[in-house]
Amino acid sequence: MKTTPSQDFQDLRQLLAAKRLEQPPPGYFDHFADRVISRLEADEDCEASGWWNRLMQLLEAHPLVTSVAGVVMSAALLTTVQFADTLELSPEPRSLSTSFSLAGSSIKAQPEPTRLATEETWVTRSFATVALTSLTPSIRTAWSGEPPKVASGWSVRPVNFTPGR
Amino acid sequence: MSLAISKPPAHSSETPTASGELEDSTLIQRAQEGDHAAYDQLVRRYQKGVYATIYHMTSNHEDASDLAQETFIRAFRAIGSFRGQSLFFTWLYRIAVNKTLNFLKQRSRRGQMSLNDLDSDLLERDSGLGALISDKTPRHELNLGELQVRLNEAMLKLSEPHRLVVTLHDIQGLSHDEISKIMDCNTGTVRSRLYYARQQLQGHLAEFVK
Repeated sequence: MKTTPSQDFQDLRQLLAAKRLEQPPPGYFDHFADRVISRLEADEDCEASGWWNRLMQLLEAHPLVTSVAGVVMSAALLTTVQFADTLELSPEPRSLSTSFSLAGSSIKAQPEPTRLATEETWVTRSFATVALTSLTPSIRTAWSGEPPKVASGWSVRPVNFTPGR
Repeated sequence: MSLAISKPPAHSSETPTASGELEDSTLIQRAQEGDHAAYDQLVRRYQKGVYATIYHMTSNHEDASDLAQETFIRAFRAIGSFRGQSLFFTWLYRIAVNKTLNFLKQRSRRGQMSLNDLDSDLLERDSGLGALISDKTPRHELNLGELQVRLNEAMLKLSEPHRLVVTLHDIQGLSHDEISKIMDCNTGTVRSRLYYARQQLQGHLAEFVK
C-alpha cells in the first residue's frame, strides 16, 4: 500500500524537531527587550540632535567639504575680529578731529589717546576725548591746569589742546 | 527551553488574560502613543518566536540577534500604521521575514552555526527524537550537535522561500493559513512549497531518513 506524503515526511519532521533544541546563549532573552528599548530611546535622542549628527557625518565623509568649512570659518573669525577692532577704534579720531568755534576762534582737539596702565594694551581709551566731548565749550576753554584725579589704573594727560588763532 | 513556539500567543480581546497580562490590542494602542513600557511587554511576548524564525533562516546567532532587534525597532516605528486588520504576530513576523530575506540577499550565505547550546532537558523529554537519532543514524557515534550541523547544511541548500515554509511550519509549528498571511501568498502555494522543500530535505538527509 502506498503511503501518503504526510506519512512519508513524518520521520523528516521528527528529525527537524532537533532544530528546536538550538538556542542562544543562556540568559540571552533576559535582556533582549531591554536592549531593544535602549536602542529605541537612543535613536530618539539621536533624532533630537539629528542636524548636528548629519553635519558631522557630512564632514567626516567629505574631506573637501571639511576643508572648505574650515576656511570659511577662519575667514569669518578674522573678519569678526577686524570688524570688532574697527568698532573699538574708529570713534576716537572722529571725535578728536572735531573742530568747533568759540567766541570767534576755533579749537582743534587732537588729543593723544590714553592707554590703560594695565597689561590690557589692546584696550585703548581716550579719556580726554570722553572728557572733552562731555564738557561744554566754556568749561573746556577754562581747563588749563592739572588734569583731574581719576581712579587708579588710569593716567590722564592733558590733551594737545591748541587754540586756533 | 526551546526556541520553537507551537503557537504564537495571539491575544485578540481588550481584557487582561487570566494570568493578568494585558492583551495585545491594549499594549499596541499604548505603544502607538509612544509608551515604551507597553512595547517592552510586546517584545518579551514575541522575542523567542521572532528570534527563532530568523535564526533558522540564517543559522547564525549573531545575525539572528541583530535582525531580531532591528525587527522590533522597525515594528515600533511602523506601529502607528498597524490597524489591526491582521493579528499582531502575523504583522510582526512579516517584518521579520522581509528583513531576513533582504539580509540573505545582500550577504552570502555563511555556514557558521551556533549549535553548542543544546537543550539537554528537552532532548531527554523528547524520547521520540532520541530514538530516531539512535535508530536511524547509520553512524551511531554521530551526536546531536553533528546532526544539527547536517540539518542546517541541508536547510541552507533550500531556496529562501522553501526554507521559510519549513521553518515556520515544521519547526515553528505555524499553520498553513498563518504562513500564507506572513508570506502574503495563498495556502496552496504554502502547501506546494512545503511539499517540495520536504522532498529536497529528504534527499539531503537520506542517511537519516528512511
